[in-house]
Amino acid sequence: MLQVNNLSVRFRTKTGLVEAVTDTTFSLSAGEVLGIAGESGCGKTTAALSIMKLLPKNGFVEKGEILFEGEDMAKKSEEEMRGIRWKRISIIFQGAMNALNPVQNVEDQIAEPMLLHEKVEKNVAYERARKLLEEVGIDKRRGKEYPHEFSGGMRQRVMIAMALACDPSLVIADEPVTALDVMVQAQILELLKRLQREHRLSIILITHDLSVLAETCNNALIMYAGRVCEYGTTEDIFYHPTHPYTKRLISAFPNIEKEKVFVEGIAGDPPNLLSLPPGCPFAPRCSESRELCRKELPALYRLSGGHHVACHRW
Amino acid sequence: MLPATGGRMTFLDVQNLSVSFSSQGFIDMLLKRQKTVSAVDGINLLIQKGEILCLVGESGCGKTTCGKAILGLVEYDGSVIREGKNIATFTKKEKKVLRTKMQIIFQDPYESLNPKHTIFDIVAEPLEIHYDLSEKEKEEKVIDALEDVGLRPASEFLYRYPHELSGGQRQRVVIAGALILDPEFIVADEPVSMLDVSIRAEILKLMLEFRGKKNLTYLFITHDLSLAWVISDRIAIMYLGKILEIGPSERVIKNPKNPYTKALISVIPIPDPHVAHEKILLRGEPPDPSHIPSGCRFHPRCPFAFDRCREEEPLLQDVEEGHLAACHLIGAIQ
Repeated sequence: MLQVNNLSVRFRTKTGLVEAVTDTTFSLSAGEVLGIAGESGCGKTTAALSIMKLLPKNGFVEKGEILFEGEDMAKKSEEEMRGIRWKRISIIFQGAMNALNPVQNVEDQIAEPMLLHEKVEKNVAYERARKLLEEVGIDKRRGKEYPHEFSGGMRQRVMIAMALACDPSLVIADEPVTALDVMVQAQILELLKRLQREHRLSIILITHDLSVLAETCNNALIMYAGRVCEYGTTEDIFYHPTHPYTKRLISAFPNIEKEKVFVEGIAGDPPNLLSLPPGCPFAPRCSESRELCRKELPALYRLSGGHHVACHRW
Repeated sequence: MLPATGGRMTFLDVQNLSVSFSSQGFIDMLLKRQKTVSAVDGINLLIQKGEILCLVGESGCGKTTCGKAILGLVEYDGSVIREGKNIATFTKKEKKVLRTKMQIIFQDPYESLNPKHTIFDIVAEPLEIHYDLSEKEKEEKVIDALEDVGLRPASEFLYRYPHELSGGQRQRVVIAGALILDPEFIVADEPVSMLDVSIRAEILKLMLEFRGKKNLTYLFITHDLSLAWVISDRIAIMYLGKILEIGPSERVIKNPKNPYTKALISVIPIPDPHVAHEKILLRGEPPDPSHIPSGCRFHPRCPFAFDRCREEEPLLQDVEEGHLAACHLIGAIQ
């Protein structure tokens, strides 16, 4: 349903062109949950936002195609995108407080995309808005309340109800649980999983937390410095990690089901996207790097099935 | 000094520590309504020399306030005993010395550093307050401190500004500033939660190294229970201003006794797609500390609450050597 081919996204800044996403390829089938993971600045959010053409003004798709249900999103005009956003692809942002309108009650906000995109009767839209509130676990009588009257977790539920308003087939969830407490985080993830099953949604979950990814996603894309490091099923990534970065990243998360071992870090800092090194962007921090790694960018090799890795050492 | 468990000596004895804030608004003032929020409510803690004690809980549980109160950064009731003497009765001079011994590291390395000061100014500031040193002596000390935290060569960092450094480097600067007075005790308030995972472990390793090298004692405040398990000797679980469970980290994680601890552990995500364990999803969010429930403060969300829980507050009781939990069910089952 979604096929992203060789996507490159750049940002124009005063200091130069930022290579935010380079040559990224991945796909998503109906009803699949794909996790995109990596650290800050790895391009995970940029890759996902470009699907909806929601890049900041200085950002642009340099090359590549984004085929969603057969149409190339990269070629769509802003006008055409307006008919696609919310209706066919919607998004859940990280900070629900900033994403919701503080002076509009939540019922209005959930009904708004329906009124705009589906031209339904007002009472039908509000009826559905209240039904969605119930579905995400909020008493429908609270529909007349404003975002500030809800807790962080509840606001995130409102965001989810809004994202589902027009019955989209793809939902992009950008760090949907990052700012929340562990208990609330678990509640929201359970809710997302339930809704995904019930609505047969396809979800792209953007996260920095590999544990969340392991518990939620079918497939995973690990990114570093704007490029794909490794791509495969969640099992491939966690049981047969092949890229040194993937391996190190996994061992940075404690696993309370296992013996206690101290979490591993990665020495050094992520590269500057304004001036990437010539070879593999991870080479300067990689303990397994060879000469070739510093000279030549590794291609994305296919290991087995859908498991791909961009590393000279596999 | 009282010997504490594990053969360690008591570093600080925190007795019946309470902190309440007045949340009286303008209208309340006009109506002469008193409104107080009880952030920390009668906490007892024996902090042992050289240990890492993790204080874990959800936002608003009072963990940060507790850490600040122990350092005397907020007003509190109760007492903090150091070497048999209540800190509150210390003379001015003693207090000043004590302040060099106890430091705090904050969460956000982006906000805790003054953007207009150079790294040298930032790290040297505590020295200027507490000692009268020549420029040369100061510079030597700052260079040592920076090299200690892995900012090498230090000369490359001295005259740079915080915005020129990465998040991990900034947190190293914060740690250098906290360590420059050779403290014995550090309250670390979520020191790595703003950092990327690959950087996080490096900073933690650094903090652990100093425990060994300088015999530091840490009170580590975090919301991340799996991180607490990895780095600490003991874990204390806080809920609405009270400690519900405390004990050696391995025991608290692998054999929790309080239903709240059990629920918190059950929702820790596991980085393994095939491990599916049952999650105990508590309904709702923690209630507001200005309306603390009667009896056991956790009872409205507890799946096992019975009549006694609504009426009587459970006390911390021994469940195993050094492992205490507050729950009426513990007695009921035994």
